[in-house]
Amino acid sequence: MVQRKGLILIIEDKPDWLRKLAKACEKAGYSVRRTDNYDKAASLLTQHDFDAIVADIRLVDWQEDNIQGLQVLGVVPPQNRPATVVVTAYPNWDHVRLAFKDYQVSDLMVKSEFKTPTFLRAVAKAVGTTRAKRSGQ
Amino acid sequence: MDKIVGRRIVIVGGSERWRNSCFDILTGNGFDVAAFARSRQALEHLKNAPADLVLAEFVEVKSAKTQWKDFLGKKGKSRVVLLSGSTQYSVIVECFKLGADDCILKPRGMEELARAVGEALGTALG
Repeated sequence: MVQRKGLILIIEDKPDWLRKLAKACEKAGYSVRRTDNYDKAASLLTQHDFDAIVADIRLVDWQEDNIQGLQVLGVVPPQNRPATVVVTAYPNWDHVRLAFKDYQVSDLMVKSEFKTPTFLRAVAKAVGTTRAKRSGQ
Repeated sequence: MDKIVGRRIVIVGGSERWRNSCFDILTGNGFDVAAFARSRQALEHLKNAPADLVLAEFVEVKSAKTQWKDFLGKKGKSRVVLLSGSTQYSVIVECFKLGADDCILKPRGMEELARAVGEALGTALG
C-alpha cells in the first residue's frame, strides 16, 4: 500500500496549470483534490482536513480585481486553516500584501518564474506548518 | 486631532531628513519616538525598551537580516511594519517571511505616514 505524504487542495482556474501543479504534487507523493472555482473549493474545504492549499489568486482570469482564490480561504477560520502556497500570474502589490496580511499565506510564487523543486519545497513546508499547528506546537 | 500619549515608536533606516520629519510629526501626535539610522543600535534599544510600533526601512532590515529575523521571532506585542521604496512583489514576500506584521510602500508624505501609523496601531492620527 502506498503511503501518501499529505492531502493537498489545488485551486486554479487554468486547466494547464491545474494539471501541472496537481501532477507535481502527486509525483511527489501527495494526494490531491483539485478545483477551478470558488464554490467547489469552499465545499472541499469544509469536507476535508487538507494539509496544505495551493491557490491562484484570480479565479476568473478576465476580472482584474478577482481575488476569489484568497477569499475562499476565509471559509476556514484562521486557527484551523491549512497553510497556503499562492501561485499567481499577476503579482499585484496590493493583492500580494493582502494574501500575507489578511490571509496569512505561507508562500507566494509567480508563474513566470515557476520552478517545480521550489514549488514542492514550499508545499512541503506548508504541510509541515499545518501539521505542527494541529499538534499544538 | 487625536493624541496618543506614551505609546512608543521606533524608526529605523532611511535618510536623516526623513527620520527627522517622522520624528517631528509623530512626537507632535504624542508618541514617544526613537529614531536610528542603523539596525544594530535600533535592535539594542529595543532589547531594553520594547516599542508599540517599529517602522523600519526594508533595505536596512535586509542588511541585518539574521538579527532582524531573531528579533521578529521574539517581538511579542510590538508591531513591526517594514517600508519599501520598491513595488516589487518579492519585497512583500521577503518582509512577511521574515516575520513582519506588514509591508507598505514608503509614505511619500507625512499625511501618508500618519495614516500608516494609525492603521498599524488601530487608531486615528491628526
